[in-house]
This record gives sequence, structure tokens and C-alpha cells, in this order.
Amino acid sequence: MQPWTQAVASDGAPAAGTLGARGLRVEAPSGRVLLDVDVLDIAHGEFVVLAGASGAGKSTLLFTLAGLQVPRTGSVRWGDTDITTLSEAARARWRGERVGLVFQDFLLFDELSALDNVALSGAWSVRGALSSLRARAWQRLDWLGLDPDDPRPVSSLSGGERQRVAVARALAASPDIVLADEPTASLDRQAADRLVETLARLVDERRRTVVVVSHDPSLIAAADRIVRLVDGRLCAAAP
Amino acid sequence: MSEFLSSAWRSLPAGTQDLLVLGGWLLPSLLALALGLMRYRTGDLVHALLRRHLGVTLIFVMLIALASGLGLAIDVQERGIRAGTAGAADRFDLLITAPGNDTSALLAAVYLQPAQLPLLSGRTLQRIADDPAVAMAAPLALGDSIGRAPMVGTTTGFVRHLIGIGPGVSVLDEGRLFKDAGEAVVGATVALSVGQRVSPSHGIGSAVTATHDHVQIELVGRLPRTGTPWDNAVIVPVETVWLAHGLGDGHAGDAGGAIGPPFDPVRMPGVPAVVVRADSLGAYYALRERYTDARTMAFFPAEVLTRLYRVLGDVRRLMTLLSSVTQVLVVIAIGVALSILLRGLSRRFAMLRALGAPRRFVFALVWCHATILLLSGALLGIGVGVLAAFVLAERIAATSGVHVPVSLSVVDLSVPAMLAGLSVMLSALPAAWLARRPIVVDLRG
Repeated sequence: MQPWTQAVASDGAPAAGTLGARGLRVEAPSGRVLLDVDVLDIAHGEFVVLAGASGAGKSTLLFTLAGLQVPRTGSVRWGDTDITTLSEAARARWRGERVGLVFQDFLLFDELSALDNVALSGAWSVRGALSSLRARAWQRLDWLGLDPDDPRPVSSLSGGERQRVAVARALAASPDIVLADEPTASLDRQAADRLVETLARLVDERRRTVVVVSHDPSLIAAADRIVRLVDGRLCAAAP
Repeated sequence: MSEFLSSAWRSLPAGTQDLLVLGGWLLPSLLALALGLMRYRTGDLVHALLRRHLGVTLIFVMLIALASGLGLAIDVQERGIRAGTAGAADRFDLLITAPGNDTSALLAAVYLQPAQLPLLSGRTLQRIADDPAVAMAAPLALGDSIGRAPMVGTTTGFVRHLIGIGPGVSVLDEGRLFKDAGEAVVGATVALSVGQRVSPSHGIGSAVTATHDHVQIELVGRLPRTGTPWDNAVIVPVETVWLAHGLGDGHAGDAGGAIGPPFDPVRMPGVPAVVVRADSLGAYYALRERYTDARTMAFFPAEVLTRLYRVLGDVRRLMTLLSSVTQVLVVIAIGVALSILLRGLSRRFAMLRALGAPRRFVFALVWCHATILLLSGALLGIGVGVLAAFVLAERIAATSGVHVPVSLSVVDLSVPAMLAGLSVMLSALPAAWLARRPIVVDLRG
């Protein structure tokens, strides 16, 4: 287990492969502070759960780390790259290459098959990358115990299967970081446990950095570190 | 520059201009499809989005189809009515009637519409028949009916002229032409059988006042289809009409029941109209001038039709204007409905951007999705418009006998193409709006 400031380089910037935030401040249009984080570093291959009460700023932090939310002040760095200074197009490219996202209610295209959902980014990727992307999508589904050749639309799958499709989609581009927002909230216990196991395997077997917003005790128990937020501020980091 | 372009445009053939206008309206759609399907691969996603709200999508497409089909049907129908009514008057080269309203005379003689027309005297008819410039003068006796079909009295010469056959040639659908005052032929669509014996009534339709029970007519032939109101008529020798009204047969006493010219100018009752054929264009104009005086009125049906078409054109312009206003309202409604429909899908679009899709891709996806909806509606609209035109043409043929040809031209296609083009251009706005929305706001729903 690592202390939450361990991955900081001597110059104060996050070490290579570390996702780090400095002086983050996110405000609502009304001016209310949604997030106020001085320092947060998440090391390469670390499994972190963001915990806290509803409205504490967990999802806001997750979206800011993903470059989806631009902070009023502060920075989010991935190695040498300050993603908060990147253009919208460059942030989208960075997410496409480095970040896998999993949402609470899966956000799949129900009418498409599992393979088509996982290979979704083929629709906007360069033409030459399509076949390799579909091959990776096939492998991810297979790794997660789903039938990649199942032609049925994902609407016919169970909740647990659909969430695994969503995880496979997040992993399709072989990202360094997987960010998940309440991934077990829509699942029954058995499916949730299976997902927790999958996320743990991602860290252990594939050395991915996993950051999860969750209240789920199973996920919290499986994490390397728990980062708790209260009113947008980090209050403690627990092993 | 604009002078040069304007001159270059005018120098183009009309067909080329029409094609260019059509292409211009289709350009935004082609651009949207090229961006969505060639620059990116949005096909599967568009398919998924269309299926996601299938009911709304179908209603949306149907609304566009109805809006574009309405305008198209008006144009096709108006052109068909012109062609049909002009075709029906083709065989009525020059009409001579008593002075009065030429439109009423035309409607009565060509389109067999009930009308009270003053009569030309026997002497006048004789004068016309004896005119050296006249190749054929066929009297028309109108105003009676058999069943629901108007009964027209005329000569075998005119019947042959009407169906386009020469003397002595018989190409009837069934039977033969009448040979005496007790015989008749029926038009192609009359619901009476050859061999049937019938009695005429005085008046037509609801205006029937009496039946001529003393007159028995045997139906001896059925004419081929002419695409004119005469297809719905029973055609008898003109003498039959005179006899039914107790006016004699128009011949000298020693005629022995003969029908057709020559008539006896003294014994011949009047007729409301005479169809005249001449051998040359010059003769037609000379005849028109000669018989336009205090006792007679000569006119070309085509001239009267041209005047009617101007009125019809004004009506069409009014209907087109109303249809255009409707279409503008529909375009606005489409814009609003599309925005609502797309707003319902905004979470999906935000998810795509969260996964790394560039804004341009989301714009292309939304625009392509909207374009496919709009183009589907416009294409269906062409089908709806043509179908409506066919149904109307059938109804007109059934009620008036006028065959209304339905055909599509490039200009007709411009109506749905314009609606689609404007809507596609308009739909770029919500597409751009969705592509620029804050991702987090839409992701949170």
C-alpha cells in the first residue's frame, strides 16, 4: 500500500506514469465550489476508490481527471502532459488513447452487438486502425468472459454482462488509466462482485491505473487506497 | 460578374437548369452524407440511433413525406389536368354556337357538362355545312341522358373523327356504329351492354324532368377509350334527339329514315353547337372570323382552355403559395422536433465525446442522422405525391371522363429536394450545438 503523496517527484510534479492534480478548483456557474484539491497523485498501477457522501465532488474529480471538466484553476498532469492546457480536440485525443471510461448505467448503444459497442471508436479512428481495433475488442470481450461473436444487440444481455461490455469498451484502446463512475451501482451483488474482481485483475495482471467512484464496500475493500472527499475537499486517504 | 453568370444561366437549356437547381438542393444532403459515411464511419451508429426511437422516427419521416408530397401532388396534378383537358378538346377543332358564353359552350360540347345553350337554326347549320372551307360540320345535340350517362346526338362522321378512324373503317371495342335513329353506341366506360334496349330521359342527373318512353334505342356498339368525357356518354344519331323531342328527323319527307347529312334546312330543328373541321389552318381562322357575328359565335376550344389555364395557373400559384407556407412551417417544425429528438440522444453523444470522439465526428454523426431522416421523408414524399396524384386523377376520370396523365419531371422533384435541402441546412445548427455542449452536463443527464 502506498501513501497518497508517494508518487511525487522532487520538483513537486507527478512522476512519470502518475496521474496528478495540483491546486484544482472547480466551481458551479453559481460560484459554488464543487472541488478544491491541493495535491492528488495516483501512481501507475494503483487502484483508487473515490469515496464520500452524495454531492461531495467524487464524480467532479473523476471527470476533471479525465479532462472532461476544465477546472477554474489548477492542473491535471499525466506525466509531462498538463491536460488542462490542452485544446478540446487534444484532450479528446488524449482520452481516446490513454483513458478508458466506465459509466454507472453503462451508456452502451443498445441496438449494437457487444463487439460493435467495444469497437465503437473505430467509427472515428483512422481507416487503417479499424481491423486492429476490432481484433483488440474481440480479445477484451473474450478476456472478460463474453462471447465476442454473439451478434445479439446488447439490450438482450443481463446487467452484469452489459457492464462487462462497458469495461471491455473502456479497455479497447489499451488505456493506461481506467476511470469508472459508480460501476456497480446498477448491478446485483453477484455481478458487482464479478466486476470488482475484473477491476482488480486489471491492476494486478495488466498494471492499469484504476480510479473508481463508489460506495460499494466490495470495491472499497479491493482498493489500494481510498480517497475520501467532503464538500469537494480531500479529507483523508486510507489504505 | 453577376451579369456574366446571369447570361450564362440563361444560355443553358431549360432541362439543364432544372437539373442544376435539383442538384443545388441536394448538395447539402450529399455533403452531410459524405461527411458522415465517407470521412467517418457513422453508418452503424446512425442505424442504432434511428432504431432507438423508431416510433418517433417513423412519425417524423411521415410528416416530412406528407409536407413534401402535398406540394408535389399539386404540381403534378395541375400539369395533368392541363394535359388531360387539352387532350379531350383535341378533336374539337372549331366550335360554332349561338352567341353567348364560350366557356359554357366549351364545357357543354367538349366536357358534356349540363348547360342551357341557345340553339343555332337549321338554316345556319346548312350555311356552315355548305361553306366551301368546311370539311366536316357535325351538329351536337345535348341535354338528354340514359341512366347516369349523358346522351349526345351527332353524326357517324364525327364519331369516326372522335375515335380517330376513317370512313368505312370499324375499330370499335365491340359491335358497330349506329345506322338508324333507333340505334346508339356507348362510350368505353358506360355501364350499359351492347344489345341492351334503353329509353332516354330529358335532362341529366338530378336535373332529369321526364323520360322519353316512346323512344326505344338499341345499343349496337362500344367505342374505344378516348380519354375524354365522351367515354361516359351514349352517342346517338342527332335525329334520335330531335325525334325524342317530337321535332321530326330533320330530313325531307322522302329521306326514308336516313341519318346524317344532308339535312333539310327547313325541317331541321336547331342544335346548340356544331363542330367544324377545315383542311387548313388558314381556313380555320377564316371560318372563325366568318361565323363570329350577331347570329353565331365561332371559337377555338384551345383558346378558351388557355384562358381557363391562366385561372387554373392562378389557383395553382395560390395553392403552391399555401403549400410553400405550409412547407416553411413544416421546416420550422422539423427543426424544433429534430432538436427535441436530438436532445433526447445528447447523453449518447456526450458519451462518444467522453470516449475520445472529436467534435467534428459528433457533428457529422448528428448531421448525417438528421439528413437520413429528412431524405427518407423527402423520398417517401415523392411516392406520397405521385400516389395522391394518381388517386386524384382516377377520381377526375371517374367523375368527368377526362384522362389526367400523371408524370414526374425534374421540376417536380425540386419540391421535396428543396424541403430536404433547407431542412438539412437547418439541421446543421442543432448538430453544431450538440457537438459543442459541455460533455459533463450531458453525461450527468
